[in-house]
Amino acid sequence: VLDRLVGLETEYAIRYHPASGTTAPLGRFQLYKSLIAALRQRTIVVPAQHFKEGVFTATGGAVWFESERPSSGAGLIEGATPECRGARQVIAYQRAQDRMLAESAGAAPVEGEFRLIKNDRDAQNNVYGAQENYEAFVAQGIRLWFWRLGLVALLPAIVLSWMGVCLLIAGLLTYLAVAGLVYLFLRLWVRDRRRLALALFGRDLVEGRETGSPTPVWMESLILNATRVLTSPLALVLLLHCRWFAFAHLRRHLTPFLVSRAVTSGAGMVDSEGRFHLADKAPAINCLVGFGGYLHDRPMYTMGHFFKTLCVESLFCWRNYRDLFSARQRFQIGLGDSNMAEGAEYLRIGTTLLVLDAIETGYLPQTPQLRHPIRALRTLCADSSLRAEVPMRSGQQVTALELQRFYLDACRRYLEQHRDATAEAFDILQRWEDALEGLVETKQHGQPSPRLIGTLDWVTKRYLLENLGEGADWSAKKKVDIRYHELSDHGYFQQLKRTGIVSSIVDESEIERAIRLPPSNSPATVRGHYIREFSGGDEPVSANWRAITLGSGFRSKVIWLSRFSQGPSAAGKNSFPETTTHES
Amino acid sequence: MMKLTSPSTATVATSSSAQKTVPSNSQIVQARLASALEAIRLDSRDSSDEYLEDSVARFGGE
Repeated sequence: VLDRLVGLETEYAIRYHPASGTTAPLGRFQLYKSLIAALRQRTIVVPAQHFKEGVFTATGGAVWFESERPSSGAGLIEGATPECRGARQVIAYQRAQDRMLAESAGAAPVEGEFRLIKNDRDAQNNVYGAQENYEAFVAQGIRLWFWRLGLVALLPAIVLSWMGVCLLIAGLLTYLAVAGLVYLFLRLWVRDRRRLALALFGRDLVEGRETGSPTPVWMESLILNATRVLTSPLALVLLLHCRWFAFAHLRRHLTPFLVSRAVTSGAGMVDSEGRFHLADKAPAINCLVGFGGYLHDRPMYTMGHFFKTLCVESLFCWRNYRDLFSARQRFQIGLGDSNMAEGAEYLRIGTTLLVLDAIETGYLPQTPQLRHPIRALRTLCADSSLRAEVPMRSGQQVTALELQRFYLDACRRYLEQHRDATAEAFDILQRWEDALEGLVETKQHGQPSPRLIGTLDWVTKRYLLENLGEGADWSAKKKVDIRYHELSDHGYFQQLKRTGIVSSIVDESEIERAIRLPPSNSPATVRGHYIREFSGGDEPVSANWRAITLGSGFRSKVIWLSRFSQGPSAAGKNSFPETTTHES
Repeated sequence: MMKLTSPSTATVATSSSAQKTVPSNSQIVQARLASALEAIRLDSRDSSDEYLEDSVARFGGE
């Protein structure tokens, strides 16, 4: 029970207000670099060996610069917790990450205000935010073999995509050669040579340093769209394969739970019409399974990591392809809000872990199946009175609270059969029940139950909105919606926290530990160990989620971490896992 | 304003004479809360600080 690996990814919005008189405000990539410089003063970091800009920390977690269009000035800061076990542990690491990043933003060497906002949607309706990752069976029995056969059958499409990627790289190199000649020719007539060079080569090449603009702005969309076209055959067949086989059993039984989960863990949101929703991200979800942004899809279950592995990572390392044949894979949930309240965050992860355990061990053979899950999700999230009903396939109507009660009862039965489960599992169950009782009171009285204020985000946010008074216009409400999530002392949730009405789950010593040390019995244990021991030495150290690389070039050593993701029983609870090393 | 109680404060033992002058934890929480709510209410009406005017997180293409 609660034994699987779990990790959280959180995209933080950047709020940057340049100091008055600043002539050249910093771009988001420069802000990210400043944040990393400040983070380096607080902990050990090493460069990430990945296809995007990032670092790994001594606790085994990572910080990324997340952007599809960096040259256009877009970007977010993304934090990823190390792989943890149990809800309490992952919440401690999430809180440690929030604190470290918020402090680093505050101390970053920039002129002006630089703050992070841990939310999921800005006033322009850009959606980003939280992702949850759980280790789970991708399929079992005959379906697992179909999954593996499918991976083999995908090989022609994979090779086709690799050829496409290589073609694109060759095209870019050819372009650079031609652009060089064009520049040499045009510079004789053009007065503003720098502008010409920027238009032809992008800022990185012109300035000879990383500025976050690796290509000219005009070329960015071109490359993005060309990549999508060239990889579309693989994307289409992989998407079908994932829909049929990847976590199909889990998804079937988990979907009604996730559709109704916002009642306990939604962050609340004021939409462009001023209406209040239980959750920030849910109204933007438009499909059950997808890659997340590839075709403007925003799925409940994200399979983008399978696509990235097959399309790019396998090209450079065959192990990445081989690892996809394992029964246990990363199960990513894209539906879920960034929580400020620990109570809500703990319930979001804890209840999901319990339900996943119950499904995988066969305690949930029958679940209420919704007729239209996405429609149901939007209907339930749009109703903070908690009275909305959605149709099931059986023709019956069901409320979000009834769905949650069904899963709570199932998990209680599951734990009754597993009396050896950890105290944390029973604690989650108790808090879940308390929250649902408080929500029943909320439904009956038509106003937030006082005991949920400071514990559930959407209830707390609604309470703040109601305290604005009758005359509050949309902009005041939206500001509350956004600034509630600001991580500085000026953030509204932080202000509420100082009053003493906010309940905590993890204590200060757990957060302090999570700032310094990686979790035990996890790939992060080994990753963090190598980062602490070898960074700062003569040999460069780099990391990614699968391996640590010591040294560079042909003499580098790679320590693979994949064998440590098999659970405490496989890794040995009290021993430091043995590492495998080889020359690359 | 809805009356809320602190979730984690312990009861403070005070003498009967002290009880007349020393506010209880609950009263302190209520006073702090009222102050915080007023500060938030006032700040929310100031729209000059770019929380709404500019997108805080242009991801690009989203």
